[in-house]
Amino acid sequence: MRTVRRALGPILRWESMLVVLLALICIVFNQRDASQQAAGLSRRDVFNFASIIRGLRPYMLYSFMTLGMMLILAMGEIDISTGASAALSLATLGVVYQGLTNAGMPNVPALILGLACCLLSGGICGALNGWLVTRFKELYSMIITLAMQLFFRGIAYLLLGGGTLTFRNDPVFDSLKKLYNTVAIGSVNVPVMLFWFAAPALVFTVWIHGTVSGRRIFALGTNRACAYFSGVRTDSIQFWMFALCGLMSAVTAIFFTGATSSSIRADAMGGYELYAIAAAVLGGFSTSGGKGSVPGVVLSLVIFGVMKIGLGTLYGFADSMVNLSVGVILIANTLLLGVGRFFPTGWGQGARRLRIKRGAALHPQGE
Amino acid sequence: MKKLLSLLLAVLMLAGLTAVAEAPAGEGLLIGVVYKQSGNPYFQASVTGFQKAADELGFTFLHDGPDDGSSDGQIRIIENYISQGVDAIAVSANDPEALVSVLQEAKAAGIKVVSWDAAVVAAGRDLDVQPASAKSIGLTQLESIAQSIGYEGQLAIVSATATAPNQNLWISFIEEALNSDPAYANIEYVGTVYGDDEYTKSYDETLGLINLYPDLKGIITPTTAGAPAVAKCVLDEGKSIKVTGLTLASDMAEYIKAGVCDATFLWNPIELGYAASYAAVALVNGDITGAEGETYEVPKLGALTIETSTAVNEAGELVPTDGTISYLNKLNAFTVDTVDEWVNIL
Repeated sequence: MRTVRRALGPILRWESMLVVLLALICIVFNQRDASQQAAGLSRRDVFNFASIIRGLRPYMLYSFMTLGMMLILAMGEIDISTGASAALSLATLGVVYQGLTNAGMPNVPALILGLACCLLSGGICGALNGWLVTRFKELYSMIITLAMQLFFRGIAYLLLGGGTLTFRNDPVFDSLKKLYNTVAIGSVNVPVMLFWFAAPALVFTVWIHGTVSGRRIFALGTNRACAYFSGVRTDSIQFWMFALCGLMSAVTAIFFTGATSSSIRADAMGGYELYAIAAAVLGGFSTSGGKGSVPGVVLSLVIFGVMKIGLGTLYGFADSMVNLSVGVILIANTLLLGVGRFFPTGWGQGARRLRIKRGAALHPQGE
Repeated sequence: MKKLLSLLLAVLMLAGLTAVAEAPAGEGLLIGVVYKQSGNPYFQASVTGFQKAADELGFTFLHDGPDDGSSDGQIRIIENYISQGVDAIAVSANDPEALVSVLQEAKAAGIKVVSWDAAVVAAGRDLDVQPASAKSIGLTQLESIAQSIGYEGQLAIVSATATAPNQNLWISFIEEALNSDPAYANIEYVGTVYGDDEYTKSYDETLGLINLYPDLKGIITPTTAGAPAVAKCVLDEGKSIKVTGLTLASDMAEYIKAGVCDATFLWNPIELGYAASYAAVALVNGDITGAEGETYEVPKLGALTIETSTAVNEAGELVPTDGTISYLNKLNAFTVDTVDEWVNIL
């Protein structure tokens, strides 16, 4: 059994399971699409490569937040305030831009300053979370960020006064909608967001899997005390990861403005933190920390997108039913990761070490 | 020769058949309906109207609304409709602005866009279909509550969300009439609170009003979701406050019979969905383009005229916009005598 497992080791990764899951979903949906068309129930081929790539667009909105969230999960913490800090960053963008243009500043620098303030405000929200989490260690990050969620959302309502700020008729501000455009590559309309997402995804992959500072995040999540006594500055890492997560929420807010025709509301992006957590967890980041990989997260974002497109267009599931089925996948996935403990979910060094550790536990004398 | 003749006859007969059984105007069309939120009985009723029109016109339709009532949820649904290649989209928008980009993409793909119930701004639609002009909706409620309280005493409004465009427009007309119409000179308007269309919040806000203004005489609640909570609160507190508003009959029958409400109002959401369907089909077939002055025929409602829509500017005046609209101009009153016949419909 052990030899079998060792031989299959590189294949039995969580990411491979995700690829299989994605392939299965695609096969089932494709069958459904073909049979729908054959029966004359649908008027066009709604499930093909081009339509999936194009259709992923609205589900990419929370992909940036997911990248931030996975860092928090890797440390064994959680941040449920990201949706609210994104809303607060969005409100900051709107209020700063409006204030500056009303004060007579030209639109372009006002927009640049507004975007900077938006990112800054997201970073500050995250840093505030990080400070509270490291300062009050007896409190769970769940509780702290729950409180901060209400706090941030409240400030956003205060800033906007419950109304909608709209800049759709402002050509400079409305150029943000280009972030949500698609570009035609061959016959495929590719969302621009895909390229914007590729950059941080690549950077994060190299950073958290390939550098010492990145792997310390996982070390912290695997065993905080052990990491601390090995010389890892746990508090400092935790603080900066929360700040970075807040920053990624602000990035989400900027793309959200592009999607919603430059209209800014305080109730925007409600529940996005749950989508982000769901995508990160399906990607292999367990809430107990210490494992997960960026490629897994990218795969899980695609799986969620494909699931929602397929269930909506092929099966006529209502929006609420789609969420239900995503919940079912998530539970199934958690059970697989939790009960099975079979698939290494790390990447690079971390994964190898994980396998060695498990081997050592099975055979106390060593292999 | 015989063969040729029989063939000719057969062709003639076939031609005759198709001429007799003329296809309904909407045959083969696919319409995507988007509403504000799934699970709201008001939108379930309007879907019945779309169904009725679909039976008559022969089109098929898809319908969905986000479960959280958000704009980005509606964007997701619209994007799915675009990829399914619908001919028309009929949308009740959660935010008048947020859907513009995605609806413009839909229009660029040749899809006709009708907004109904809650409008999208002109740039995102071909035509807006509304039950009655904002002025008549606002003033009908005001006149009703004024009669109930004998044209004097304190009056408050419990609205939906602070950003809800419909409610804000109606309230602006109510406020204008209260300020200018001498008939309402003895009514003291104490202000508007927002229940966010949530039962608990609407109840709490009403309780707050009752405690703050012990002499309150009347409440207008122009939202179907908030009205039952407002009436329940008044009934629970045992006050002699009269309530009117836009409500579903089934939600309010209890309070109308208990005397809390003398009359409440609503257009018929079934007819609204029904008319929106006819508008969408007429747009797709090119019978109308959505320009001012055109008319389209809706069975039982007659010919509906398309006019320039209006909006409130910053000075609080009603100004024309660059979009067009058509009104059904029908409002139903639910009173103690009529509410029972509506309970099973609305």
